[in-house]
Amino acid sequence: MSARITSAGAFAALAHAFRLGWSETWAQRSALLGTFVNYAVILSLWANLYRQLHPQSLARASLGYAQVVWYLALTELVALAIGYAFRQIQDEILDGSVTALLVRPVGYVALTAAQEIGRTAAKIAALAVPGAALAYWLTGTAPFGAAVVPAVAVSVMAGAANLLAMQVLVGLSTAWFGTARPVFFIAQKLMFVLGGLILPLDAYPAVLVKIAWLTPFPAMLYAPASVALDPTWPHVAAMLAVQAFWLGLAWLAVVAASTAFERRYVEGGLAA
Amino acid sequence: MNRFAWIPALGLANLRSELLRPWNAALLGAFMAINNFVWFGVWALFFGLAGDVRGWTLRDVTEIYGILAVGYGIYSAFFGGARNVALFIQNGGLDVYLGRPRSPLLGVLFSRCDPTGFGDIASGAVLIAWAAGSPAEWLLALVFATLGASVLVSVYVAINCLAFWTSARPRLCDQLFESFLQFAMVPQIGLPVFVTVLLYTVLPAAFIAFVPVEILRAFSLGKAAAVVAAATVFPAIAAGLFRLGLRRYASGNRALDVR
Repeated sequence: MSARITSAGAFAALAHAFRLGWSETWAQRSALLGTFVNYAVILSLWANLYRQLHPQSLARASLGYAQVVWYLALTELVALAIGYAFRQIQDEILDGSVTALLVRPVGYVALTAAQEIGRTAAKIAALAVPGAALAYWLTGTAPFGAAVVPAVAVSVMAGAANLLAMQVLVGLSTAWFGTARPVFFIAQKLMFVLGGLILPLDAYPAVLVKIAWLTPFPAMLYAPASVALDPTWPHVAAMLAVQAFWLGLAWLAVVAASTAFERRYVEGGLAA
Repeated sequence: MNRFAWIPALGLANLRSELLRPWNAALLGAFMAINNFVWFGVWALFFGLAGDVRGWTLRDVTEIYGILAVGYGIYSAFFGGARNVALFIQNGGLDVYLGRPRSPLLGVLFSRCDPTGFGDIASGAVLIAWAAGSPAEWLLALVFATLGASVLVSVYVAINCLAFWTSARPRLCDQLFESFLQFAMVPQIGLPVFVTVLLYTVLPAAFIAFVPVEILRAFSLGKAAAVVAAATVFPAIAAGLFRLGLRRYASGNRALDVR
């Protein structure tokens, strides 16, 4: 549906959308504050629960208090940085404003995703330092050294990108279901369980671990956060490889869904 | 029409409008219920590892979550307008309600019905049934959930009233409420004293599900009285804050929007 433009032009448009999302997020200071309050409350409450477990409970899964708190700090960072990105797509489809966006020379989904990545990057940048400070305050230690931090940063962004792809797909499902909320509820909770939001997959029953690894959810949360459990380079590299694999598949799925969505829209399926 | 007859009439009108697409409403409710059962799965995994946390078991936490889900469901199914207070303060939407001869706060509260609330109520009731030892306990838990809904709605209104005095945006109010729900969702044990004090006063999350489950574990008349008192005092505080805030309220005139 979109007119063609040069690659350089498309890249410039996407970069602009990224910058727009980034600056928009920094401009909304109160929303950033609210996100951090949420982050701090969740992390502190669960850390409090973990602190009160019998030490043997965690040891059975070869885990320690500091490890699970830092693990949670990283999973929450990814989960809260994305928030409810699907809503924008859902609302634009429902109120018809997507029509105007579809005739732009750069694809609607690509522009929306670039803007959302800008927002996510801003939220990660804003939450990472105070989040790490809070986790350090709660545990009195850091489970990995400074050398691993760049890899963790890449892994967190890759996790967020995987999660964003899922939310884009959920948002586009509005074109078929009339709303994206029910699909989001299920996808979000599956991510919580199979991604290991609260508890590392290492503590799950074996069958559930096998099922989880067949889905993209561990690439979203467990992969970046498990650096807190095993900060060795082989593990970090393996997790990055898993994330790259799922990111590739997610990209293909988003392209396919985006094409199907535009076709459905052009054929007038949504006008009815 | 007697003084309060308009309230159920408005509630029914909202419900009818939501049920114009009954399958959509049913689907939303069902998915919200599944959502709650999956969250129960997270707790099951946690307690599978932990066994218990200072005497609190999966059964107790399920009861907390069930009571919270029913309370939250009552809020979103019947008092869904609570989340719009800050939005209306910001965009002048309160004009519509101030132009009516009835309480503007009640008008706002009953202005929205969310069908997902019925999924919360149903799934919460099922979770309580799983955890409760007897039908009487189940019924008592539902009574506590209704009282908890009163506290939930009051807190949401009070948080939204921040918009009268500060530049708090609706999104921030939603985030603060989400944080409040996090407090209500977990057993509040082993917290620092000042946090515990907060949870029984300014942020009364303890009265929504934690204290009720304590009562269900070992009945205490004093605690039961405290829960009932919370369910009446906090709405009065929220209404007082709203009335106080209205004195500062100004907007472009949207009274012509009165329908």
